[in-house]
Amino acid sequence: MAKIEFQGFEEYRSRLLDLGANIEGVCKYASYDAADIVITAIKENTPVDTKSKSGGGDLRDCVALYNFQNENGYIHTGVYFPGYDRDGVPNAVKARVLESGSSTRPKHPFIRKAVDSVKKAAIFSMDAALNKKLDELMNK
Amino acid sequence: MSLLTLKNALAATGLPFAHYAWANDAYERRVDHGVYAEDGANDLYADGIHSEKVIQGTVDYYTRDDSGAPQTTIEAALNTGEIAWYLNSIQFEEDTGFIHYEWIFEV
Repeated sequence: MAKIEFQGFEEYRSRLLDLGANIEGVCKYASYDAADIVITAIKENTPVDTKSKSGGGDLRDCVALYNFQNENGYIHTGVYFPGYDRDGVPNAVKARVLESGSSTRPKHPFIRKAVDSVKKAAIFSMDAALNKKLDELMNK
Repeated sequence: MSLLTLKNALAATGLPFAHYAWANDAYERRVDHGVYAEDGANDLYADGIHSEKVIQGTVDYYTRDDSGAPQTTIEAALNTGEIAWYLNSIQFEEDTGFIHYEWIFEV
């Protein structure tokens, strides 16, 4: 937990106002490492289709994060699969079919399992980054 | 609560469900059907002790009924069975004409 030292309530108020003005950046900063942990786990868990005409690996190479967004104070990002593979199939469709399966194909939930496996690590990472940033801002 | 709770909840819907896969693929391609399968865990540890065992998995239902009735029936059954769940996706399969509902459950 971040430790805050201040001289009088006016200074405390001033620092809280500063923090409030910068809170979006603080939250995004705290999320960067966590997002990296999650996307790395998803990449490692993305199956490589060795039977693909293109030799496979396209899906793993295209895993991406979209820009951090602020929707009414809710800071978030997400994983997506842009573009097409070398066979002309949209990567997003391939990822969806792999993750959820279909009536003719078994599912391979590589995203859900990857996220579950690193959920705690990502939360701890955000906690540590947030405390570090709060220490910096509130004790400068 | 165990997988048996889920099995009984799905059986109570009156909809055709199989565990992991149907024995006959041709059946799957022809009529509305469902599959449930456990695929992982989300266990709870407290004070270094394995205190709760949680099984996670999916319930899939493939239907050509576009009224939403099967979705309502299945979700009501999961609620009645006090099974934790969320709807993960709804997709339309152009090649088969099925609407594919997918729920994640934990018991």
